[in-house]
Amino acid sequence: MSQTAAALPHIVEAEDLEAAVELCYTEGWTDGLPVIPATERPVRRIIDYLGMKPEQVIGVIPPRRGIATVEKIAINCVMAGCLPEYVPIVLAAVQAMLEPEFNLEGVQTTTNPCAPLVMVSGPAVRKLGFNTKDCALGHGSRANAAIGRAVRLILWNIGGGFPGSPCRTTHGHPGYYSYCIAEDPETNPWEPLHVTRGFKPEDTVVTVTAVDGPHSVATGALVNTPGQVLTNIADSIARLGSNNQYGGQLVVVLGPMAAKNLADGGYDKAGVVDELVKRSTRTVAEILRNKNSDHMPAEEMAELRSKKGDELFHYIRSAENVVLLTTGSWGAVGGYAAVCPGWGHFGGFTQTKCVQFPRNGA
Amino acid sequence: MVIAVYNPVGEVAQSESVRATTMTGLNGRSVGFVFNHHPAVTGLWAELEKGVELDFRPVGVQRIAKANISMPQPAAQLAKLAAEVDYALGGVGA
Repeated sequence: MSQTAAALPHIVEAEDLEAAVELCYTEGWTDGLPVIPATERPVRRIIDYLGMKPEQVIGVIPPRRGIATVEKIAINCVMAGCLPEYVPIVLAAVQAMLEPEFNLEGVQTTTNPCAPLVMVSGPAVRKLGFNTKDCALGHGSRANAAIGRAVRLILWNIGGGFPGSPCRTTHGHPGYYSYCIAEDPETNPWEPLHVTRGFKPEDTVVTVTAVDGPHSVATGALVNTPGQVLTNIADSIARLGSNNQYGGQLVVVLGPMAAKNLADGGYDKAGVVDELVKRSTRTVAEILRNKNSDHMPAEEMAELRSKKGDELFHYIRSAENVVLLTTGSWGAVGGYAAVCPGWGHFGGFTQTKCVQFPRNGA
Repeated sequence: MVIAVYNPVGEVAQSESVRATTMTGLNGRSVGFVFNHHPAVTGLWAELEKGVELDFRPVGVQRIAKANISMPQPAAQLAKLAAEVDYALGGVGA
């Protein structure tokens, strides 16, 4: 797939709606799913809602180094189906990904299947109708789907992050179409994610980490002890094929049953994370048997080789590397959680931004 | 009914780097090697460094071994290298 839009003007005419939809395909403006052709009225509606100048530059998106103006972001948001009230969240996500520590250029081009996961917490979750119940990590809500898709289209159209060149991800995952979830404010038994990240309870905040697709974990929270629930989750973290053997960060999504099981067992958020750090282990011998371990930083490899084979190797290097949130439906015995491994120590590191809604916004 | 569709693709930002310079030859100049130690190319890189030293006989060699194969090296460190060598080779792998 390629784009020829560099030669196209800012506005292109199509003879009717069908032609406009096809234009988006032929010009490479879409990821394969249809988009809403962006016309003047919805683009203007977003810009008027934001109260920002259309030519204001939000940033430069790698690897293509496309200039993300407010207008270009608004165009991609229209294409994704965003309501104007969603766009401040998209802006916050873009700003988060442009922080140098996130290494967006690496995230966009690596062979690893890490995609930016946009996690929303705060009052806007309910006000804007995010899905935090059945299929909270999947389909079913305009807010989740359109915001996630807008972020991906921005990375595609402005950043040039499409498969083949230069995006070389081996498999990717469906989150490359849209990857946006929200924390459930009612079933989360602890402080909200954004408060953990240092923001005020009344803020709406976007947290972004580049991760794999979700790996489901049947915690058995209806019948298991909290210790067993934690062990089941830790086992899914400490996989031989996980990039988290190279360090880095990960996201752990608890369903409400698993969260309640742990909270009722006396664990607070920090306690859950500490246990995951302790329990997400393999032996040094197992790690060294895997020649692919050489992707670790050189000093870590040297230290590893100095250890005895039966010593434990910890996948999570420190508690700060875990983003923990609660969302999803109650379910049945399974008590599902989901582990989303990060890219290792290479990038995609968690960034958090407070969403700036215009006056009278969400 | 004609529909005017807005183009979602942004303009490309111009590079901030200084204009390229040309060199008349590499013999007897100082060289810098910036290598990310990607496992796929460690053998190739070793041969490349050997070849450069043999063929161009640099008056000085400096090396940066990146700690992270994917994260950019800190700009200040690269700037220091650029100030101290005549040319540099950057090694990637994927």
